[in-house]
Amino acid sequence: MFNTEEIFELEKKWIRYKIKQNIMITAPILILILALSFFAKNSILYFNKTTQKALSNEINTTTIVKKVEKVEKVEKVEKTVVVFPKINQNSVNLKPYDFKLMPSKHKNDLFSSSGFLILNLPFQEKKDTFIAQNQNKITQSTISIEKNDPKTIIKKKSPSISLEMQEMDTINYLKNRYYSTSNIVFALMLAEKFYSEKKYKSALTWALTANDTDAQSIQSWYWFAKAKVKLNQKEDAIKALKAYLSNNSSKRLSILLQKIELGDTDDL
Amino acid sequence: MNSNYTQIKNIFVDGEVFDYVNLDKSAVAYEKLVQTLNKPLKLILFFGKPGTGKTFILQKIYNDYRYKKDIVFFPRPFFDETQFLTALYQNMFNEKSPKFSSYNEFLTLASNKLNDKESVTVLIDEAQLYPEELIEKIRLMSDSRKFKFLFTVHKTEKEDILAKDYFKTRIWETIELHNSSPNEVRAYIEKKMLFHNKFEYLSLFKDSHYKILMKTTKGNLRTINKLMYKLFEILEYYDKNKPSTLRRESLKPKYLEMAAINLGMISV
Repeated sequence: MFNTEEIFELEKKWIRYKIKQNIMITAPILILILALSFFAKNSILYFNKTTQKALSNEINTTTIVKKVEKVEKVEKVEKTVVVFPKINQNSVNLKPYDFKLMPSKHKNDLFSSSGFLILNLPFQEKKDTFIAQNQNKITQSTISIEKNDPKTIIKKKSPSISLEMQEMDTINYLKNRYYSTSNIVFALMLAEKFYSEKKYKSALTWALTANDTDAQSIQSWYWFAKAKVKLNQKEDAIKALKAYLSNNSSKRLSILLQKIELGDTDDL
Repeated sequence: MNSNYTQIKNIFVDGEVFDYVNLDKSAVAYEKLVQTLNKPLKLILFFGKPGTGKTFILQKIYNDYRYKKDIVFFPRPFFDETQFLTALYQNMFNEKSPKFSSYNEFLTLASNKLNDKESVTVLIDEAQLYPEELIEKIRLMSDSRKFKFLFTVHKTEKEDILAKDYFKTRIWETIELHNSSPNEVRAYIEKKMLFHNKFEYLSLFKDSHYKILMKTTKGNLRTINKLMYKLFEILEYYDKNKPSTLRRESLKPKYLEMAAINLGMISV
């Protein structure tokens, strides 16, 4: 029969065995959990990458498609530009280059006691704020795209190409927004965008489009005049601004007119 | 003072207590062996892993047929030819054996004494321990048709070679005994306890205990005997020194595991 010492020793061994057994049971479970979490993490990362790649491809495809559309539309618009002055000669709407025909439609507004600018100033401010907000949004979304997928851009594309892609995307985005909403803000932003890219013909086209949407938009006159100057059509710019300012008052446009007349167009 | 567990412990002393437990596999092996022994075969090979119950089956055959036919049982091996021949003569003719100077002398005398009698069946346990020369002599004896030998060997690589080398062309029938199944292990313990009127202790063992028994012993009856002996030895200690830790209706698996640890069946 066992003695106390032997039983004590045996119990100690049994405790060791149980600890070992518990480790043997729990260790694979822990490993499995870790492996699963690792796998899940990788899957999410892989899924994100795949989605981003797919989106990137989609954006590229859309860009190409939109580019083609854009070319077609620009051609159309340019064609319209050519035709537009003729139409506007008899048109009631105010057109920037159609300085001879004053906006008879808004005549009452223009000559009202409160005046055109006073009446439209808050709206104008709102529009400016809206434009600024949208610009911020676009900038933020561009930044977020860059943050989300920096590797794809860095690895696959040179920095210059990636910038170009972003520019194209912004233009596409603005165009899409304009086509879907017909909101002048997007047309104005496009005019400004093309102007900043020294694409003055496109800037002019979009200034006209904006003006077509809202003839009283100071900004449409502003970008129209600036683009005309850059296209060496300084006289057109002066005529347009004078026509506008004859019935309306705009400090911004007055300063611009003064600068153009003085030939101080370097910082335009 | 003897504990109840002391008595139960002694039930499982291997080889000391002959209480053949009729298990499914041993019943099948028993029937097959009896049928084979009744056929006019000279050599039969009965093999299985150690502890599968081969010796118990041989003992049962011997006990069942010792008064019905000429049968001799050698549970322990012989390493000397003269000793083997002397023992065989005494068992066959129930008289003191003369001194045989050679194997041929024994064969002549035995054949004359047997005359037209039916051949003698010799059950040889642990045949793998016999010297090669003696095995060869036994094989030659079987050719005389006066002897029928049943060799019981362990199923190991060495014994398989032995069988191939010495009995390849002679062995007419081979019977294999496998380890016990989980149900047979349960039946073995139950029958053992019932046979010794300790059935009230059967409630100690639940499914979980039989699982541990099966896992640690792999269904080897000899190992089960050792484990059960050790278990009741441990229980004997607790019964005498810490009786409050024991319950009649259930056995803590801990004690079974402690017994297995003590026997080295579970490594710590």
